[in-house]
Amino acid sequence: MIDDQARADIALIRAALDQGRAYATARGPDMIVWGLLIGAGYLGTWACLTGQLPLRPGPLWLGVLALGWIFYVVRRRPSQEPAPPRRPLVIALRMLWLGIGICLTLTAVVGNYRGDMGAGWFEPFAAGILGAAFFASATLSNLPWLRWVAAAWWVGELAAFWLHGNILILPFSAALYVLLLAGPGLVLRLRP
Amino acid sequence: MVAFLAGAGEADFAAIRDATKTTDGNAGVHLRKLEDAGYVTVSKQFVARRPQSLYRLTDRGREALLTYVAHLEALLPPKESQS
Repeated sequence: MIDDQARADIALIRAALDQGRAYATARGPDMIVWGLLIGAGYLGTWACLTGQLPLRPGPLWLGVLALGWIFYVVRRRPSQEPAPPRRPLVIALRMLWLGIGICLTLTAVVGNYRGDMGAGWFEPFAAGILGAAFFASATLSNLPWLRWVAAAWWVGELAAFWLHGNILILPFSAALYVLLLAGPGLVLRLRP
Repeated sequence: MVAFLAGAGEADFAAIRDATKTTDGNAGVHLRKLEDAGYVTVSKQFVARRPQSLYRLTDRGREALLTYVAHLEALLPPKESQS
């Protein structure tokens, strides 16, 4: 009897600890901002290439990436309040996504500079990387539903290979980033 | 509440209330007691012009949680308490 109650109490405490850990992770607006910015970048590129927007894709993407990183840096200005204690898993998760962001930004900038982006390899590459990031995040943040988001990114990766050379890959990529990056970001922000 | 804050590091009132599935009044009373006991600290700030209370577990609160868990584990048979 007493040990049953003790087991139940320990299980409750573990569940509350996990819940707290899940709460602490992945709450920032970065996913929403990046998802919408990159989605807008792809739609803008589509508009540029179809003659609806009198811009070149290169400067458009530089603007998109600059806005995203400025937002990231401004959000992390030192505040007057002392920083809360950060769990190692929260730090690991933030470093994972920061690393992903740096990798994709560098690849996009260099690829654009070399004129390689029109070959259509970047979209499947980025979708695969983001799928891996969500897959790892599902475990680090104790949010198993993120594995479904990862799977959706990998399906998107296959679809991007299929759409290779087709201009429809641009609105398709826009939809991917809005639905699978901004979307989960919004869900994470709104959850209790 | 203490376990949730141990996992979260820092959480606002609404998150603690929702995590413990209790009412505003209940959560407020318990958090005040925890604050009086020195287990949590609270800081108030404004987010989008709305007051927000942020709660953090103190070292004393963390010690109390660990002590309580140790007591519970001591009640279990020896093999289970090692897991």
